[in-house]
Amino acid sequence: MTDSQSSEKLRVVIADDEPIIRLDLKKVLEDIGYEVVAEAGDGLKAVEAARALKPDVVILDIKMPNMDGIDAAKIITEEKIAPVLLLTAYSQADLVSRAKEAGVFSYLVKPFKEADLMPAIEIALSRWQEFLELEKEARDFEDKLETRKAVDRAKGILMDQYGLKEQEAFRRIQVQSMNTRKSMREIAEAIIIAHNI
Amino acid sequence: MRPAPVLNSVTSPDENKTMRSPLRARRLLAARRRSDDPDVALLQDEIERLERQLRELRVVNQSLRDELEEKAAEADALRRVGEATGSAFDLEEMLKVAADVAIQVTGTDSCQVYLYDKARDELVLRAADETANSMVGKIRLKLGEGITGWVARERKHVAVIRNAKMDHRFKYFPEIHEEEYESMLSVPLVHKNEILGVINVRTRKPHVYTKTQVRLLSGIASQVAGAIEKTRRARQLEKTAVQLHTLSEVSQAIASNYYIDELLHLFVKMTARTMNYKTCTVLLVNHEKGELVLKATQSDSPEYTKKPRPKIGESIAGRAVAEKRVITVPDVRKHPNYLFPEIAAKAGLCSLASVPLMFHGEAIGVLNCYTDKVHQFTKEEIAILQALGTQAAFAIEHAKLTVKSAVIQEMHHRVKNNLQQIASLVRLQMHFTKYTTTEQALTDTLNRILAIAAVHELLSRDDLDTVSMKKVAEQILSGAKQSVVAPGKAIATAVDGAEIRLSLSYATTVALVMNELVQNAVEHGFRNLDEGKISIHLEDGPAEVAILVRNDGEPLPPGFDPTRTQNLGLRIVTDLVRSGLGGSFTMENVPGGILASVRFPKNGAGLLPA
Repeated sequence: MTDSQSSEKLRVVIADDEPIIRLDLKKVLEDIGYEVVAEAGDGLKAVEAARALKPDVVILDIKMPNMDGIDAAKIITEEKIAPVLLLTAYSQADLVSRAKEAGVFSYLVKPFKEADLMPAIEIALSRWQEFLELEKEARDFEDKLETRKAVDRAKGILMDQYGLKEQEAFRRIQVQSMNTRKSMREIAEAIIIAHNI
Repeated sequence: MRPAPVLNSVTSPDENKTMRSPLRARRLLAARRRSDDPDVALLQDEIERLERQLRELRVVNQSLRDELEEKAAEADALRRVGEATGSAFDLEEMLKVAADVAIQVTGTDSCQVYLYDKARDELVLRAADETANSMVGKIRLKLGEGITGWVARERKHVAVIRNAKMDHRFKYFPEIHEEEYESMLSVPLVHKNEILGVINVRTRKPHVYTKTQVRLLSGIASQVAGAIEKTRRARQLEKTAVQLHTLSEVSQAIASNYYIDELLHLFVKMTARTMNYKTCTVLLVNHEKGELVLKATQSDSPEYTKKPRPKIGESIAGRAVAEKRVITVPDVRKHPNYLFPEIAAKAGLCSLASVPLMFHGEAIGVLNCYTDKVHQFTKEEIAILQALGTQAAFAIEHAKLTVKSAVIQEMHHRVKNNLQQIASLVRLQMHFTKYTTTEQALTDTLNRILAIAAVHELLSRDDLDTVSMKKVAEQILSGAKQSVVAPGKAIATAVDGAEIRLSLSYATTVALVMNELVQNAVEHGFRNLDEGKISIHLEDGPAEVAILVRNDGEPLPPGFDPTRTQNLGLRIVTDLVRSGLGGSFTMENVPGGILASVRFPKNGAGLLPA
């Protein structure tokens, strides 16, 4: 992250219905080396800007007209656009838990200090990275599991049809995979489909 | 009743034989007499004794048979009354059957059943044979009035052989043809020492009532009394069940509602429906004015809903609140304390229960329940109404607290948001402006804070959601004259044009913009001049609002562009107008001075196009 930051500024979308606060936030962000690519006065416009510009981080006020910051955060997180940092004048427990549920990665209580902004953004970014990695891991595991299930069934089919031993059946699928440059899962699924016909 | 030994002797075998053949015994006796046997006389005595015994036994036998028959009839009568009371669908039907059975088993000509109406302390004819059937429900007797009333009061039966109407206790009702009857047997209906009514039988001819007849009628009376009590208890249970259901339904409905008006509307509607009242109304106490304010009613009478507010302590509702107790009135149209009997008459209101809504020992209001005809509010009913009143009082207080805490939360939010705004302004000021003196820097900051404060001040003063921009402009100008204009300079100010009202967020933005423009005019336009004029003109166009700030000070330098200046004030204006209001900002030299124009679309500021 440090390398990319030095060569290329992190892009931020900010949303707050108070223009003065937006102006201040923009200035502070620019001073500490971020690029504010869009400003929005409500949650709906913030979501639109985030979808269109794919920023690195989105900073949202909670209380905004049309769509509040928590609902906007939910959409932005679900669509895996960017981590959301919530800016709020509230600091009640129930709001924090609502924010957590919406997938908010960090938050700052108003009035915020200049010095708090960078750490909060860094926390949001690193947690976002973690989240993406975990998600990828989960997807990989799922794929591996599916591959294994398919290969096991294909092996069984080959053993039955050609009277092969398990190892031999596995080897045939492996060879076929290498020859055709297809994944073992694809080969196994083809065998299963062929067998079902 | 009869000596048992006599009965036993009947069963001895020898005598039995003698008894069965009296003819033979007499012949034997005659023969013995002729033979002059000395034993004959003895024998003769013996036979005579036996014959006497026989005659006695016959009488005993007959009386036993009669007694058995009576008992059987009695048992039958009681069985029939029992059946009637067990199977009858309602009280009236049961009483009618009981009356018919009473006539049959006592062998009388007529029967009437009176029941005691506790609320009115009267006996009411509730069932009779055909001759008086049409008068059921219409004949009423006070306790102690007439023979029937006397029986009810004394709880003793009375039997009159003839000429009952001449009895000193008699009360004559021509409607039930009482003159036709001579005798009368009147028995109280009593259950657990409580008088429930009276059952009477009559005969047209003079008649001496036997012990059996009295016992029979008493038996019927006690069965009927038991049945009445059973019905009454069943009704009571049913009513209690309905009332408890009402209570829980109403409590549930109102406990979950935070809006007092909605909550009270639901409360009166449900109370009226489930308790079967014509009109239910809730009035709440207004302490400052010492009166009761109508908050909810399901009455559709416009006169009723508009009637003047009662004072606490006056009228019936006012007294219920002041005395913290339930007050019932049988008929408000006739009650001296009821203030508007004509309105009540027009709205069809009759009986009233005024129930104070109690919360922590204080009456916070009153629930008025009206019926459309004379109604006796029972003790149980009033208890339910009191419980409902307490529920409502708690729900009201709960709702008030919830609203209060929501308001406090909102206040916290606003305060923090405003602090953020101020922090942002100060930070921006630090970034953009190089001040030569601290005083200058603080004055700028102070004026910005005051511009925001002006909006809040006006917002709280008007108690509305929107703020008059004219008033904000006036405050900003007068503030600027005090703090920014150097002493010795004479700068006149004026505000004119249309009245425009904006919500908090937009009003704050516009206030900051006006503040910056006014400050800018004072600082730059009148730096070297000692007198001049600054005016703010508001324009309310069809789709656009314009704020024009004019001054007759020094003109702008050539090529001046407000969007490209490093002047924080003008940067704030540019940014606020563009991103806060979605509008445009220009500054130019015009004949007679400098004109700064801010224009923004109405829909962008939450205003509807004209």
